[in-house]
Amino acid sequence: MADGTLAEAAPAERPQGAALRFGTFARRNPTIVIGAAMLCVMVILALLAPLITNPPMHAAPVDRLKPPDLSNFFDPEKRDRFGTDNLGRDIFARTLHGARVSLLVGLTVAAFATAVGLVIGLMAGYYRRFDAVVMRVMDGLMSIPSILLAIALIALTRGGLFLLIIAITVPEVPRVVRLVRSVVLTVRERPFVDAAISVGSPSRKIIIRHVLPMTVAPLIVQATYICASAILIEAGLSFLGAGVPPEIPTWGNMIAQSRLFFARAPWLIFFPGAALALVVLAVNLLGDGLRDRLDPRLARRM
Amino acid sequence: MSGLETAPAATAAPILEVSDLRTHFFTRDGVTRAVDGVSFTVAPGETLGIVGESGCGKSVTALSVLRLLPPRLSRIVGGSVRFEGQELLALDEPAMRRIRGNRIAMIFQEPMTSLNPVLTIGDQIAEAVTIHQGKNRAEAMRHAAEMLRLVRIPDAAKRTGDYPHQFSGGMRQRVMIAMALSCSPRLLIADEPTTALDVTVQAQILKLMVELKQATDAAVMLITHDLGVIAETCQRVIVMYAGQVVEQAEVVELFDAPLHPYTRGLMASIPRIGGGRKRRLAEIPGIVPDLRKPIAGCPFAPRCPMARARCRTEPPPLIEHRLGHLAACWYAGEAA
Repeated sequence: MADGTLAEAAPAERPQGAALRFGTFARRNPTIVIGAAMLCVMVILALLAPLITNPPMHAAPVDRLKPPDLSNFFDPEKRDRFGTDNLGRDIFARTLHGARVSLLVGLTVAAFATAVGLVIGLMAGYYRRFDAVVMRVMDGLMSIPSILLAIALIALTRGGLFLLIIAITVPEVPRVVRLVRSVVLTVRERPFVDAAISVGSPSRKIIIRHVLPMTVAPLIVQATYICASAILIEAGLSFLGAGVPPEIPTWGNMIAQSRLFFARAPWLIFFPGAALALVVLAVNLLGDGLRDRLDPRLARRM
Repeated sequence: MSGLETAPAATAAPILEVSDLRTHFFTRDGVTRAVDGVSFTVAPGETLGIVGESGCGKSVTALSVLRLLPPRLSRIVGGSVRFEGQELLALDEPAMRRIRGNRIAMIFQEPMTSLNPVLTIGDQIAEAVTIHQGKNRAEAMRHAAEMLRLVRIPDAAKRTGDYPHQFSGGMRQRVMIAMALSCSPRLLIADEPTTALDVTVQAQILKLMVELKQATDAAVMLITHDLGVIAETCQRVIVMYAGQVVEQAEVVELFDAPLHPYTRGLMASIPRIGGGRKRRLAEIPGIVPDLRKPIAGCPFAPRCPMARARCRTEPPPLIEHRLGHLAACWYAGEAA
């Protein structure tokens, strides 16, 4: 509302006002801004990877195990910016391409787990008869370690990225269900829900209009944590050889393949490892910042 | 004294007829008989007050009429609730939903929490209209603005886009009234509508309710523990104690000549201006009986100043002592 009046009063000053407000926001929520900025850079680099790097699969045995050379970093012909691996492949190109897989897995797992968990959680919280059965199933699911489930799934089928995403999603769903259910259980006792029932709203409408919006804030925060943990699990599975097929460059695959050489060529592990750490850090910073921002009880300053 | 002098009670066929209503709560410690054989009627256009202490079953009676009680904890175990000749206790849930908010509306006690903080005022008032009258969003929002104007919220059309936190307590209760009246219900149940408000705001809200009631000619069931509110607004009063009706009368008659010792006790415990500083406020000794245990005689007997042996063994029936004035007391009207 303040924006509107400001814009009407002095249209020319609007960009300045927006910049000023962003400055205030950044000062109050530094973790959100830092996390989001890091993540944005990563996403852009990952999206642009095919355009700005050499082909990641291209092997050149002559150039194998070259150390990183950061002089002329922006020279598109250079293949050893981050060094090369034991087959002479470009680590820079492979790290950026690895970001594509990691971010894809992180975001889709977060989206799938939240969507499925939200629906089940709303039903379980609102329809108490459904609740007892569903929560016991969720308890059962929670007891399956995701690494084991993924290995079992990959062993049963031929593997692949989609199956990997499913395997990581399944054990994350119960966490979301529990979160959503707990929110529903508190919201449904609030007087405005009784008021909605007393004007004749059907259950479906009450869930969508009155209960669902209350779950959004905690759900966004939970989604960021799921995203971070999915990225780590994917890297772990690839490292174990139960994840993405080894020919696809992912951070886990890269680290796994360089185990034999890392004493001689530590950059083989350093760059994918650092990228992994930075992405997970960025997502967690964003999640922490959002939690502080969206939950007034935890925020120290509003 | 009474703000409403429309149709006298009991001439027309009642709009609401509650007979021998029994609502029990099933808890771990046993069965609580929250409402235990309550009967009353509400005539079209009438304002009926239900008064009593906390826990006497007045709210549960109201919620039972609309069948809004938590289904796993409570059950209406007996009696009948007939609204416009239709038995509400026999209706299925979808049929009941068509009555709620449409033919019978309810105003709750807490205006601060009965509105959803994340939806606009207009959206929330429009909810009932979209459900019951199938209006589209634009029509419903126009109607919402109209309702806000009706409850005297200034700049109504603009304020439909505001959120509850932008309204004060009294304004929110006006919004609740607007919500309740948006489908022109024939019966309005107001459960302690002014309890959470400042005294000056209480008076405004009551005045507004009386005016709107006259304008719409809806019947009102007003639940309160405040005899002052009853005196201002109602035509007929029911006094409840321990889940039972102990006295029922026209409002003037009740205040002039209360028959039941409990009603007298309630009236004696109202502070009076000019009563003198030294005068100690009268109270009713003792506490409300435990509704989980069977009550042998009159439920009020343990606290009653004039209880005799018969009161502790035989429950007194609710009988008419004067024209339209019923009381459940063996020694009704006797001086204490």
